[in-house]
Amino acid sequence: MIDIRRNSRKALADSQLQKNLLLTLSKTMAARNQVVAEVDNWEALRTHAQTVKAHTVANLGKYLETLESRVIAQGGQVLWADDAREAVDYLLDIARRYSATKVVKSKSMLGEEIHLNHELERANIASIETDLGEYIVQLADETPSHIVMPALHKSREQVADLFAEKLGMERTEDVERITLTARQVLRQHFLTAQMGISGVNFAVAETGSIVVVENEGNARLSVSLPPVHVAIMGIEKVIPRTEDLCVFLKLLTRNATGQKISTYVNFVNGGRRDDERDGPRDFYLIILDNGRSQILKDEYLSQTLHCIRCGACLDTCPVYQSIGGHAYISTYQGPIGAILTPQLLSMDEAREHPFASSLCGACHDICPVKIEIPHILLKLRDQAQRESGGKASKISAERIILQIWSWFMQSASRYRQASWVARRLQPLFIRTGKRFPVGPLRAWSEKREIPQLATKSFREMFVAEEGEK
Amino acid sequence: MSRSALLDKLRRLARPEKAPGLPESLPDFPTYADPVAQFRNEVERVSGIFLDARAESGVEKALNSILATQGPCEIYWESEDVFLRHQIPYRLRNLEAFAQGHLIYSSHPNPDVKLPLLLLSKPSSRADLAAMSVSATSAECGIAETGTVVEKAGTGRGRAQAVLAPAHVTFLREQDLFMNHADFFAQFQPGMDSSYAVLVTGPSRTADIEKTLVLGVHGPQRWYAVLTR
Amino acid sequence: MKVALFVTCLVDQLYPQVGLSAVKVLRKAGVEVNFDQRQTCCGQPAFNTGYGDQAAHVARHMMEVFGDSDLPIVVPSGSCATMVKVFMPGLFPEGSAQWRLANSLAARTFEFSDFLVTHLGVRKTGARFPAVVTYHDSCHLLRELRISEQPRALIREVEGIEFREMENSTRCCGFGGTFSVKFPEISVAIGQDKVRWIRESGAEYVVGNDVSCLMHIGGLLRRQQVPVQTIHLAELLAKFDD
Repeated sequence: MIDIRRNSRKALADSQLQKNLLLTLSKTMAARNQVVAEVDNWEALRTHAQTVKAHTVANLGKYLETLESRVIAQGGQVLWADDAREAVDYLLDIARRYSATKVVKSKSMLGEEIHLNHELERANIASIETDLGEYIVQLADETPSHIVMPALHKSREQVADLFAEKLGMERTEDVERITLTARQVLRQHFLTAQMGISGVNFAVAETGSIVVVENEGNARLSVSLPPVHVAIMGIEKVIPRTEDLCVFLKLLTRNATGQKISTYVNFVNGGRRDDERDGPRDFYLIILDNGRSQILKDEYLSQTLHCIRCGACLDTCPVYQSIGGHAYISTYQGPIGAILTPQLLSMDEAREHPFASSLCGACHDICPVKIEIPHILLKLRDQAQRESGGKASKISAERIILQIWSWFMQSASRYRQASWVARRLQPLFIRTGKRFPVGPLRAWSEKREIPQLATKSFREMFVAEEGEK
Repeated sequence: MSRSALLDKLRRLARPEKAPGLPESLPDFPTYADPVAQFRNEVERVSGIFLDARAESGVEKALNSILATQGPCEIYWESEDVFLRHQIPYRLRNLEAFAQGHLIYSSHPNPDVKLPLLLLSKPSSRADLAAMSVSATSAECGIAETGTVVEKAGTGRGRAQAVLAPAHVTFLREQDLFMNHADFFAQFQPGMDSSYAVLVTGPSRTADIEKTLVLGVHGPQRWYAVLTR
Repeated sequence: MKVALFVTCLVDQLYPQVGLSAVKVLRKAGVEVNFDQRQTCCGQPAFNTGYGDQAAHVARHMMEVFGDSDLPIVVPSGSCATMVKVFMPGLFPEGSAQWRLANSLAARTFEFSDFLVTHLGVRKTGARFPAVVTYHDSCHLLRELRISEQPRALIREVEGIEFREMENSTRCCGFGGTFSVKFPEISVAIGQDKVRWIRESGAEYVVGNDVSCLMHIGGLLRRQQVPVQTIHLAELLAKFDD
């Protein structure tokens, strides 16, 4: 089980991380809020996007088949993968056919999910991340800490150290010089790689188009220069029509980076046509399940698959703002990570995920497709307790404690008796300024004064007052 | 086989009656009394350089303005399309050069362009592509709402040439300017006659390090949008 | 007009003055307040922790107590009102008698400030409190019940008061129910941010509609000996002579 609490303690004690989180997330949210305030029908856009996604997810097979036939008609190949292993095997197979020793990759959370780089490296294929944030994370031998801003957890000083160490460049904290170095180094890789891999933001069924959204131009180069392009997508990325893209793109970019539109929105429809000057000869689309179809089984929980990976829920979440992404360990972090991970992995592995939230609901308010994250978290908590027989909690007696609590609460007289006893015992345990030695009260009292049971309860006083009348 | 197993599973889990139908209309998208002004404002907002070439000798003036900024350089023209669409007269010794897929370029030691543009050609090579300093292409269309241009691969055009050089010039006709994204996507048919299209808005950028904006990561650092009649 | 008061277990046991204040304010507004002594709790702690079955047992008791009459139920707590209005029906199988009863209860349950402003049209209670105050938007109140203007309207009408909005009043205080003891370090870190903004507002008091939030914020303020007090909206509004 991923121990978020333990990881969070480390994160909270990491003052550099805290500084980075505050700096980056506050800027991101400010930009996002400003650019969203400029839209006078933001709610209508959200409703539209939610409707399209709900319709699509309820008819997923149909639209994936349409997508497939369009891609094939354009000369591309479509490969269906049940799980990560199968997807990786397809990629290795394609790499072998092209004698690929080097792959350039544009950002793909799905790639992270299937541990793509690691698998390619194992087969002696260099897999180069080309998005600057992902490249930094790769150089540091870490994992991305945010869906949209992978190197959010790194300060410029840390990046300067990294580039000096790994690329042998003269150490500089000048962000422009660092970026220029990355451009030069990665440009060489773009020009010599035998295979380009991209993720997919949207796959349009009616036209067989793969849409890749970016700012840097690395996706453009990844899908333009190498002789073969492989796009990897989760089954939930398909949308039926081109016309709805205006809505999705407007929601996605504003929420993700506070831009009106990202610098490049790429549309790939297979490999190059005969009359085109350049472009990959061949195109493959890998459609991956990896646990998503399981999520479809539950009508309510299916909305988890509506996510368009804008990352805004992370940016607005007080928990994510406090602990960052690595504390979650899982590929997906923050609120979407908290609901997706237990459903994609297993509740056993990700038992803490649904509980690492104060249920404030800020994520639901910001979600472009209105995923009811807090309510889903509550459902998953219930599921966690049922499946573990009440052992989902670290507090082993939790189920029993709550059963006893519930028993007392079902009867006014038991409730009154318990209250009477608690008040008598209270002076023995609770002192101002002191920490309580065990249990939940200890957790509370590390940094907070424990509230006192009142000398007389409301009902005692109310009844007494009424009695006097 | 994963395909049939997965599709079977999805067929069994399908809930078409329980889900909403696709929306029949789109939410409103903004319209502008002066779309060109909107386009220009947006281009400049994303640090693009807008040049209005609609007037007499507009293209010459625009090119000279670009050259004044870029200094002595060669401009690599993506295809014949630019010249045809924007009615830019040119002279080219090797008329087959376009069809042969050669690199077409004009050489500018000084910002003193006079049309017709003198074009040179050479066989395409990766090395030359990598060494380009200024590239130029024609946009299929543009979107005023966000200062966006749409570039497409097609006959004699590819994907890479418009993104490799550190400075890129996109020519856009005023008549090809859409008001907003809804209008654009309503008629956009990706894949119809081309394997690749890209919506371009501004120069390449990143803010991956401490949210500090840097232009020109992998794509162009400088981007010019030239509006022609 | 007569209402049934659901005082909530936290108010009953820890902050009885809040309950007494709520009664005082309602009576001043001409409302007769019925308090059924059989009431205990709405079941939220169990529900929040993932024990829906236990929550349902407790909810059933509440439905027995309040299901007798059809008086409007007034609750001096955003999170408890949310439990009744939003989550309680879902504890029971859809279409069952319990589900229907829960829905009828939900329809006539009102959070205290919402009841005063939206249903009674009352903004002024005659309260007088010459102090600088700020207001914390509790999450359930704000995001589930969409209540944010009503408390502010009431605060502004208190005589002599100076009301200052704090930065990020809508950001969670970090309590989150059992989250506060399951992830105490994160809970406290989030709370510390709230304490900082309260201090920066220059307020002497922070007003809230939920004693759960105030308990957490107050716990931090008191441990750090910050000279800011917490006060529930009902207590503030009750500061008038009878």
